[in-house]
Amino acid sequence: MEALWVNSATAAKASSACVASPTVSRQLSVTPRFDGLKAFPMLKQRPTSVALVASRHHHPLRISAVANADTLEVVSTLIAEQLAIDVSQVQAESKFTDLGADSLDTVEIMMALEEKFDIQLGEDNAEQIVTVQHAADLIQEVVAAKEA
Amino acid sequence: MDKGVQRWAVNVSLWTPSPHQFRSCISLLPPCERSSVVRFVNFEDQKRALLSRLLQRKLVQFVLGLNYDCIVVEQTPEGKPYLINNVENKNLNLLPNFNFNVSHHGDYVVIVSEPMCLVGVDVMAHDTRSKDPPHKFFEAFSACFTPCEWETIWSAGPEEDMLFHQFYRFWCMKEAYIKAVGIGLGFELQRAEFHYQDGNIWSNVAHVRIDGVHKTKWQFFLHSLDDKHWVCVAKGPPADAIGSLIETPSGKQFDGVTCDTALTLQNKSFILLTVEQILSTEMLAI
Repeated sequence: MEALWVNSATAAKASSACVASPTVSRQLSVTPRFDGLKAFPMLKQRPTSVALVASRHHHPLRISAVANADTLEVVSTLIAEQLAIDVSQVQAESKFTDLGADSLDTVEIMMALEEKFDIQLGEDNAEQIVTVQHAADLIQEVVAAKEA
Repeated sequence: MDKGVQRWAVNVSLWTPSPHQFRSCISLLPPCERSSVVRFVNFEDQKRALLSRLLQRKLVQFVLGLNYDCIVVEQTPEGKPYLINNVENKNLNLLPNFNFNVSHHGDYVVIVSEPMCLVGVDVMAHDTRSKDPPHKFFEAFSACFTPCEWETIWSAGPEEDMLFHQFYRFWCMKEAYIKAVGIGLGFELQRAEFHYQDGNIWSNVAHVRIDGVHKTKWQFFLHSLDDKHWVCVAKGPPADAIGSLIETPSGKQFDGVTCDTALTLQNKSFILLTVEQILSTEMLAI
């Protein structure tokens, strides 16, 4: 199934009023937005609909640094686990769709990456991700920015 | 006109081609489309991708009577498939807005078409790889549904299977809507809120509110293909198509067309086709 892509954070606000569900202990920083038709990589996007009022950071990082081998390995391993494929099939240049990520996988991968690295990726940054390498690069940038 | 309404499903898991057989099946596609199949790392994904494309060609051949080799299917920037040579088809006056949509997940590839109304489809299989209980599994998706939708999902419990079933039903509905309209990327999920009008959470019909407004002309039909797969067919007025879809050959007919009669037609059930039927270039006999 066509994968879902994730975007800016309104997650915390969305589910808070649901009375019947147990308390949600972790929140994705990005609000998932159905792509419905294609997984990431992101295509040339049409202008989006009006977003919900939410706090989100508007400082997209330009991915300029290449992630080190360790980061790439962690990201690749995580993706391989989520997709139940051998990590040897996950190349740096692999596109997520080509690896078989469906819409559920995409959401879970994003959440797992944010948890693993204790970061929030944010919508504008997430839009830049096309390949596994991009994901690793972005994560490294975000981690570096956080630690700076 | 009725022939333009189709609901087909194919069980991919029943097909176990040898590498040689698979390669020859790929050659049924125009050369430019073959990379869209082989790019997948996983063979199961390749199978689904190939059957998905062949299913589209089979549908177009069946409904419009086009010569199999002449069929050209392209995609909008958002990825919705459309027929490039629709303007030449002799049945155009009967099928002014012929549009179709395909989905694959788990064991099935499905396709739906409508002659006039916008249509979208999504199939979901319960992924038994994930051993997480519902409350843990659902965490990642908390922002996908509104509080009201979550309340409905949770009301299906406490049995875990029932919770998952209801979750997938809602997932299908949202995806099917997005795909019908052809939005592709960029739709804020919270804007679309699905509900069952009569309060029966296992009803096979559902409706949607967009930005709080009940969209009476949109209908969502839920089908259970087997005990693991849910399918939702979204059907709505062509006026709701997005820009890039309107620019497709058949989409040029979208503006100003009323399809109230078509919208109220009873929904069709899915027909289960065999892989052999899809692989054949002969006209389908159903």
